Parts: sequence; structure tokens; C-alpha cells
Amino acid sequence: MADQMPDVERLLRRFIEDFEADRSTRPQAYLEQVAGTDRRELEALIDAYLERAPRRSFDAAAYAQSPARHLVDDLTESLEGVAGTWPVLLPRLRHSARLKRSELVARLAAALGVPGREAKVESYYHAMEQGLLEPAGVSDRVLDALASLTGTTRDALRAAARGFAPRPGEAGARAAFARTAMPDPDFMETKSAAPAAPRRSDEPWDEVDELFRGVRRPDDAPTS
Amino acid sequence: MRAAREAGATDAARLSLQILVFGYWDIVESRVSQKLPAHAVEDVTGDVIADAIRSSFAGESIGEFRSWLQTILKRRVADFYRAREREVDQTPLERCDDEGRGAGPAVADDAGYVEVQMILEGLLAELRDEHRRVVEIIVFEDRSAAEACAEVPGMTPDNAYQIVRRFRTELRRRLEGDNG
Repeated sequence: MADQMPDVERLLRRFIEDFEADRSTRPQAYLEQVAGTDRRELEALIDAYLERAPRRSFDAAAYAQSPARHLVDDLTESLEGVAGTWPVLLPRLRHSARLKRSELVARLAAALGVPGREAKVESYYHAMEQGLLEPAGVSDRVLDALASLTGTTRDALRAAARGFAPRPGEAGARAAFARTAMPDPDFMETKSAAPAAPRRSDEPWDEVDELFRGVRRPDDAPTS
Repeated sequence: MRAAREAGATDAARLSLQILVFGYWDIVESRVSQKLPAHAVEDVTGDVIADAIRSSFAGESIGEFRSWLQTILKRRVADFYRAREREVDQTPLERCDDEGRGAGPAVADDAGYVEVQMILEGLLAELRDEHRRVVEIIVFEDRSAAEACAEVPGMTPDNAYQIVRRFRTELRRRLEGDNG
């Protein structure tokens, strides 16, 4: 046992040196050089090192090539929206489930029992991914169906929708927007090529609206 | 970042976000890569960082951002394996492309990861503060015994080596016991 310890120590030191010289270094190549308890020990030590490793200094050129950039873009949408980290989480879940948005929407519409209303479902789902739809109005049926299609849970989706409190002075305006308006189709066009399904003001409130925005009250404003 | 956003300083808030996400991305990605298959690493890394930032905005986080990252990372690893248990056929077990080749996690399931972490954290928690600091300096910061002695009052190089040797021996003993 004792004569194997130096291997673990040597690999740990080499990993730390390599990681600090090149932060894209990953542990697998080092772990593959040992087995059994050595591997478990090395993995634990590398993980403990990484837990304490200093944060990388900002480098604009490296940032531009980093996947971190995409997350920052999504988080910026989250910060500007009303739905927590849905702009981060929903596209990632869809990607993990290997579903194009049109496929997910078709399955979602089928699961919700609204076949033939895919365009409207897509419009609402698009608004969810953009963080523009008030989460409180989205029914458990929608979240359960979405969770089932993307391998998560309703609770996880609800939890992700919390947070990012509006900036001072924004709460009222945002809440009003989220309660009363479908996302502006022109704005949606600028965000992506997803087809918008604008809801005309004279269009009757229907089951799809209820599923995504809550039950409409007699005085017009849908509850959230 | 929170202050900049609350003040309406959008550019400053975005720059803070860039610094925070870029600064932690490689650390979180490296840790996630030890635990999950290659195809899941980037998405889970993003989820962990995003959730930690969301939690800090929501006032849910207690203590340092780094500690919150640690908590969320463990939770996400557990979620991943729970989801895989539910839907085994949705996770590719074998990949024939470059992305999946030779890039499997060291620990094959959440239980193994959690056990190893508990053993290590338990062992560190049992150490006196100054001994734990010596271990951190020499083992996790890859610095010399002389540097540990300079930082920890009353420590000698011989003592420092002995503390590290005992820590490593005990860690192996517990890992071996956990194995079998």
C-alpha cells in the first residue's frame, strides 16, 4: 500500500501544475493512470484541490472562445426577464433530451391534449425560454409535461423560476407585462427565428392561454 | 454584480457576470468531468453556475459563493444519476464518436462520489484547525512545508510532513475500508 502512495502524490502534483498552467486541463488522463483505491484517493484529492483552487483571472480573448460566454448571454436574458433561470435551464434541458424546439412543442401540445394548437404552444414555450412569461401563470400540467419530456421534475422547474428579483422600479411594469401581454412577436423575431403566434386582441381566451397564463377572470386580466 | 444591477448599471453588471462565470467555469467543469459522462459536462457546468448565481440573487445562499457552488454541484450530480436511473435508455452508455471516447467519469455513480466526498470531508473536519491548514497548504495548494511553517505558528517542517503523512495514510485506510 505505502509504495503506491507516491504515484498518487506525483499525479496530484502534476495535475495541479498542469491545471494552473492550462486551465483546460481535465483530471481523466491522470486518473486513468491508477486504479482501485489509488484512483479513488487521487479523485478525492483532485476534487478537494479544485474546490479550493483560485478563481481564474478574466481574460477577454479566452472568454470570447469559452462556453462561459454562452452562459453569460443566457444569464443576461434571465436577469432581464421575469422567470429566474428558465432562459438558461430550458434550452439546456431540451438540448440534453436531444429535441428540436419544434419536436418538443409537438410533443408538449400532444401531452397537454391540445393537438392542432402547436403554433400557440410554441409561442408560449418560446416566451418561457426567453424568460418573458410569468412563471406563476404556467400550470402544473404544463410543467409536468415539460418535465417528463426533458427528464426533470416540476419542482426543479419551479425552483429555477424563482430569483433574480426585479430592479427597483421595475417590479410593477414587469408584472403587468407578464400578466397581460403575449410577447411582442417583433421582439421575438429579433431574438430567434422561432415562429411567433401572436394572440390578437379579439381572439378568445382559450385552453392554451389558461394552461400557460392562468385562469382568466371576468374582469379580463388573467390571474397569475 | 447585484449592486450594479440594482443601480441600473447594465454594463457593469454584465462585466461582473462575465468575470464571475469565466472565473469559475473551468473549476466547475473540471470537477463535473470527474463525475459525469462527457456529453453531460458542459450543460451541467452551466446549470451549476447559473443556479449558484440565481440563488445568490434570491438571497438563498449562505456564506461564500464558492460554498454554494459546492452544494449545488453535489445536488446536480445526484439529480443526474437519479434521472438516469429513471430513464436509463435516454443516456448513451457507449459513444462511438470522439466526444465519448475514453472520457467516462472516475466514479460511476452518485453514491460513490458522495461516499468519497464524505470520507475526505469527515477526515478534514476531524483535524485541528492548524493541522487542517497544513494539509491544505501542502496537499491542495501544492506549496512547501516551509511555507506551511511560515503561515502556521509553531509548526516545524518535520511536524508538517508528519501531519500530511498521517492524513494521507488515514485517507487511504478509510477509502480501502469503504471499498471492501
